[in-house]
Amino acid sequence: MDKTLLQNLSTELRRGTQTLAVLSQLSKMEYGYSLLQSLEEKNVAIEAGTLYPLLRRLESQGLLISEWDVSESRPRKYYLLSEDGKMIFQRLKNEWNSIVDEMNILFKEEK
Amino acid sequence: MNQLIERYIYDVTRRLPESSRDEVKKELRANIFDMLKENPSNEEIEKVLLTLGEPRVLANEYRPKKRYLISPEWMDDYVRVLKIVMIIFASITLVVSLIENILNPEAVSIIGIIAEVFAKVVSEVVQSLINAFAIVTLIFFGIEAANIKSKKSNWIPESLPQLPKENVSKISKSGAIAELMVNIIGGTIFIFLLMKNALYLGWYTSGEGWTITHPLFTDSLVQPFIPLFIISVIFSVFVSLTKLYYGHRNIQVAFIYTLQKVLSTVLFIVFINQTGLISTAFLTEASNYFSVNGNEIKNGIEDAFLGFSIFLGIIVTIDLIKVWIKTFNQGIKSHINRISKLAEHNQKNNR
Repeated sequence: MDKTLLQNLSTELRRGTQTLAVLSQLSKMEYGYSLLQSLEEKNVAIEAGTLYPLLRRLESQGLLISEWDVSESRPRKYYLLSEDGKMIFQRLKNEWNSIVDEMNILFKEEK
Repeated sequence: MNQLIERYIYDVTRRLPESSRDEVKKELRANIFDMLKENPSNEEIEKVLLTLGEPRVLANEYRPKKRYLISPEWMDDYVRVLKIVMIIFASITLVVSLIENILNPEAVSIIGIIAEVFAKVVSEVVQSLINAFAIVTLIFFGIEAANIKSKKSNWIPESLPQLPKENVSKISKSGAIAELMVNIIGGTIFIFLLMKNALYLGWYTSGEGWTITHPLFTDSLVQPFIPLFIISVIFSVFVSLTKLYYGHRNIQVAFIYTLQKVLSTVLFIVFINQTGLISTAFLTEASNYFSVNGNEIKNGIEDAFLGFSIFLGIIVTIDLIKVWIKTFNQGIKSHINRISKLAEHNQKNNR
């Protein structure tokens, strides 16, 4: 069995869910690294090199709002769901649930 | 110590559009420092940079749109056009540069001339291939840029290519490409010789090397035909490309082929049957050399040209008749095929 093939397919499958995972964690303010850690704690596999650009992309699409905190010695950029982001997250969550249902039906048939 | 981080950030952001550079720089720096403890060691910094991955890859993630010189959707067409254009460019250059370099060598010895011709021809052909590559790539790049701008896909189902018909006599691709190359090479040689007819065609006198003292053709009768011959060669290239495009015989191909054959043959026949085409200087020289009357030579050559014209006319006519018979045969075959299928279908329905 080709290992890289499996890896590619699984990366492809996961890519869409990463957006959903990030959106789900941002109903409260988080900065890049804290978000990465909290996702890791919950065993969600996402790489730093994927997460940081993703945050920036979601912000430019208007789903996130951001703010620089310069009160401490290290400046940090905090992200939070925007109003649009909240709505889209709800819709995507519904979409995800129906995907899971559809897939489960297909997998049952298979047996 | 921090220099490694700054170098990494620089390597990522220099690949990004200027508008987003500063912000990404700030973000990246903040994120990297968040991932490190206070006063990190060099190894720790390297470890963090390695988790972030190669700068080129990370920059690509940051880029809003994927960029291509030639996007995957256009790649097929690009490669197809590139192949044909490269073949055309290389064959024209091969012929022209062979003739030029063989006729005007700088070296003296035979081996020197061979080496010189070989080296020059190879380098000129390679250069023409690079030019072809650059031109095609630029044109496709332009098409793509224009497409992105309009953003509309003007695809309509009507524009789909016709299915290759069953029972058709296919035009072989390699045959059409060979014909294309022969047309280009032969045409280029012919036109080249005519353009410089005073240099290469005529009565050679051996003195210091071979030089032409009396050109074969009257130049004033040759020059007006050169643009017409060039158009004729271009037309023949167009016909070969049409054959390649359809890939099988049909009315369109037969029609355009006939038109091109008739026009080029008429052009050639008119050209060689002009009175006074053979220059008087040449005739005089020939009559002196063979000690025959100049008029006899003139009549002999003119008769030969006339005979050749008739011969050529017959050959072309036979060729065209063959092409049309093949085209019609195939039309009838596919028609019969359709009728018999229809009959089969009806029979099944009747049962």
